[in-house]
Amino acid sequence: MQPYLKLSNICLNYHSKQGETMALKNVNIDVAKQEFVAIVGPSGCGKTTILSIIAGILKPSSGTITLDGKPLATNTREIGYMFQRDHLFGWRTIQKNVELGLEISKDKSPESKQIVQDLLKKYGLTDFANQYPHQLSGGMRQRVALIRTLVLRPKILLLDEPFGALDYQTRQTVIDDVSDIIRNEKITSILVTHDINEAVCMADKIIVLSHRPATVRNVVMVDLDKTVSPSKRKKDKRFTELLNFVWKELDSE
Amino acid sequence: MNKKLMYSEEHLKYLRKEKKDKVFVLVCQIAILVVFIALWELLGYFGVINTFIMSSPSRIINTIAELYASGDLWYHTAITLYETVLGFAIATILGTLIAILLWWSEKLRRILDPYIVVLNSLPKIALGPIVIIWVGAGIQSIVTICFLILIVVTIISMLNAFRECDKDKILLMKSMGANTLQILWKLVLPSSIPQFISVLKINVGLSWVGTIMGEYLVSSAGLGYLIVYGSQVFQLDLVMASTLILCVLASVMYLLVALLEKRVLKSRH
Repeated sequence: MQPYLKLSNICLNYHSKQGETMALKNVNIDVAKQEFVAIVGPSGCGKTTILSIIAGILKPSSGTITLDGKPLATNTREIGYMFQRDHLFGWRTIQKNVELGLEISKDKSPESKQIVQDLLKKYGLTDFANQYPHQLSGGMRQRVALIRTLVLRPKILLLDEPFGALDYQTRQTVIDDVSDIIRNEKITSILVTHDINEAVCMADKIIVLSHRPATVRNVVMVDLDKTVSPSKRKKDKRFTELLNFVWKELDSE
Repeated sequence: MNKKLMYSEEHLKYLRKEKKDKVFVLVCQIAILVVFIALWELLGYFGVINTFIMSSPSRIINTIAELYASGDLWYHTAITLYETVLGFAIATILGTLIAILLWWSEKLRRILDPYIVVLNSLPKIALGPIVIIWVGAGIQSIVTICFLILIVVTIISMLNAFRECDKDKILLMKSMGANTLQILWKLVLPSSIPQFISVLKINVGLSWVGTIMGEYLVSSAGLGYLIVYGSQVFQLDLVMASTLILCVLASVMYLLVALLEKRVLKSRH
């Protein structure tokens, strides 16, 4: 079967006055529809670069990306992006923050408005709709940031270390929360993280990258029970085995 | 219901202390002013200082009253205020627009960068004589000098504010398909409002500097003119009175900006 998102032989060179650096070398990644893929790798290996390429913000030096069999169009609503920090706009209410993407694409259709209302209601944010971001907790803000991208009904959701800025106690709750929302909304997602724990407990498939120039070292399928929350998956004996396996893969350079 | 009933004894004590401290500071502030004025007046009255050179509070009040009676007070104040507000408004608006242009085009910014640096380090008042010859002696040259003093600072400060805008937030907007105008309008401008207000505050102060300097160089009316005129005819009462009016005007204008700041920042939260 044709994968939903396909990165073929992606290479990327960075140019600076000091010279040319090869960041990505023949990266091949296949993502199936509604699959949750995690990308792990040594720090500075170019994980975020891959996301920027998928988001259409960076152009690869060579290689092709196809979404649903067609070349990926840049600057569209097809790709949602979630960052380490929530990046909610402090001068907008929660509702206005969530509507940002609709405003940008000048989408004033009643259907979209309805989607906003439905998502706010579904994820318990209706009561906060007229509040400002600073009145919400870190976990809630990250949830709002996720809803903000979901309003645009993206085909792919990119998550760039989205839990990195949260403290340890909040993190697990937010991981469960985000994972729940993503499975619920059936969104194809790609998570970039340096936390292997996070990758193993959330993903269907883990892509292990090598040192720079990054290339795919291994693809690990995660055979954990996806019907339970990530924090419950962590209690599985298989979780530790997978964790150790991915550790070794990363370490064996 | 009285809110105080809900507070603990300890909290009430804290509140009382806070209030006491506030009153103390206020009393001290007023005391300094009263003592200063009283000392000035008394030293003059008993001939310790020469009121012909130092003037005195009562003589200043009398001078202001005379100016008011002759209608000169409004005339000179209005002219200076007009020049200041005009210079302030033109420079702030135009400076912000130029900053937007330089933010928009990285190339243009790089090309103009050395010129801005040179213009910034140049003491603008040195351009005074040229301005007078080019735009003609009168209000227009005073406004121009005021404008020149403000414009470069405004451009640099606002450009810095725009460029400090979070790169990830810009990336977020781009990933949603935003164009440059949308990024400017929905992100860069609103996130620069606090810096814009501090630019306003700086400009309020500088605009008075610009106007008075301009009036020193070339004028036939205005508070700066009164100060120069007063010193030339050795009428220190007039100099002091004009300075006092200037002091009050500048404070009021600053307070207005501070008030605006309070309102804007409140609605942002």
